[in-house]
Amino acid sequence: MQIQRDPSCVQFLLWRCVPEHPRESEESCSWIGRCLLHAGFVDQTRETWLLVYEDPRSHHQVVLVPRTGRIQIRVHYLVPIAQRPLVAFSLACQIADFLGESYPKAEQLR
Amino acid sequence: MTVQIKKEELFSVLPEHAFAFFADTPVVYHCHHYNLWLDQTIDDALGTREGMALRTRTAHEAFYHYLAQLVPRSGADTPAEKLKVAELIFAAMGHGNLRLHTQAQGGLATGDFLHYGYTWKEKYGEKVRRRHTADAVAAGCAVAATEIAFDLPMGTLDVAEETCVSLGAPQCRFQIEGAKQPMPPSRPVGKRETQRLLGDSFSGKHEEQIRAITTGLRSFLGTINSDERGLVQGFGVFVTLHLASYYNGISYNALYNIERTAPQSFDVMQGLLVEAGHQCGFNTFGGILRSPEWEGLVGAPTGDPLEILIGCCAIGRALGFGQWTIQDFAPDKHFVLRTPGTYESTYHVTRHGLASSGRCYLHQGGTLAAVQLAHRVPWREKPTFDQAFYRSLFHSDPQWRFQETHCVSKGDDYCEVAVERIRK
Repeated sequence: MQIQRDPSCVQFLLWRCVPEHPRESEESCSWIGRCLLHAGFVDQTRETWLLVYEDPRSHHQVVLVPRTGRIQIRVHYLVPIAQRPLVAFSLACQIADFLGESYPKAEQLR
Repeated sequence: MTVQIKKEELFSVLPEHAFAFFADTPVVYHCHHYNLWLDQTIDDALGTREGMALRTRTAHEAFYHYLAQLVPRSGADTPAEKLKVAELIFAAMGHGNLRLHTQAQGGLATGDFLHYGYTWKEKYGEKVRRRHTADAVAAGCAVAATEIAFDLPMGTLDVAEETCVSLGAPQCRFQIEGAKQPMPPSRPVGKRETQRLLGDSFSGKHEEQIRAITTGLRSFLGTINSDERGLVQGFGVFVTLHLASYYNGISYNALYNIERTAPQSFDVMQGLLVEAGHQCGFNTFGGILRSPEWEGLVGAPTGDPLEILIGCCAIGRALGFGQWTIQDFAPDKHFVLRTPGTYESTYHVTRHGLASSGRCYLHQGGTLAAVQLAHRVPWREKPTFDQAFYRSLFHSDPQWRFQETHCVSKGDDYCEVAVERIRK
């Protein structure tokens, strides 16, 4: 799994996870969604074309696009800027676990 | 009693003209890039002192007319309830948390996470030292809300922002007191005035695709709510639902002030207003096109220029800029965008009468930006839309020229911008 700042990222809030092994987009999003629910995330999806899961304690979100398989991590704004990359990294590791992928490398956080 | 704002009852759209209204007041979505850039443009043109005075006065007037429509429909009865309605609606529009501790003779207002001051700090805080306060819009809302709450005529009170987060303060504070100078009366430019000027709508090329995306985007925008800060953060930008009268008021008053006092700079001022529109188009439209929301609704941009222009027309409509239609397009040659009206032209005719040339500066800059996005952005490389990227594209090599060939502001039946490739 790779992690990189999303092109629209401001202040280290938005991150993109890119799995190493390509999968069928819809199936993969559906699987990650189920795993997130199992991990205690809450489904906040309002449109079927954009799946949104939120951790009710930290309010970090994972956004999934079934059409393309895009995975976006949204770190909550209350996290101090310096800690945001680490929060994103930890969530990316969790998603990597769901997909059976190796963890992203820490140097990708820059 | 508990005050309630029923958003779905107060929000309305003229879908065939792509105009949006809240409590019968024209509203549009704009992001912090445009909001900050336009305010700075006004200050650059008039000087900081006069620019801030104009922006505050315009916000005061715009919010007074708006709240005069909104508050009676909210069920608020007492002054305290009316002030609460203003606070709630200000936050719901993505402008931040404003607290009004005011009486009929004035008092104090405080603000946390106010859109202008907070986003200025986020965008420029580490690089630029600011010397004046940033929240003319919050100031205008605070003073207008107090007047409405205590049934005072517009201009009875005046306001000054005393501290601002953009200057390093922990909170923004506003002092409201009796006005030393009267404010000239003005009539609102509302839904009725706007509708009166609108002719029949029309469609253009690729209408079905544009319409379908617009419907999806409108539906999605309707589900977005502000967060605990009273801010709306989406598509990689801070979004506001804003009063069209504010943008129009500051733009045209500054423009005509320049025409009176420094007529030789009139064209420069027009150019600056177009640049604000260009910033808006590039950052907001670009942000939306790169977002997961867009990818889910439409698909990731492939880089096909037509696909980007279709997307931009849908975005323009969903944001309330007007019924953007494609009249003509030849890749790498020309693009013609036509709309039965814009939120700029309907305001201009109502407030300033007919002009000798086009007056839709957001429309001009936005259309040019759409063409740039279509032709100059390597979408598959997923570029980061920051200031360095913007400068690298537009600093020295314009590549495209534009002209507003038709404008409701000069008596035409529609507004049209033609963009053409510069051949070297």
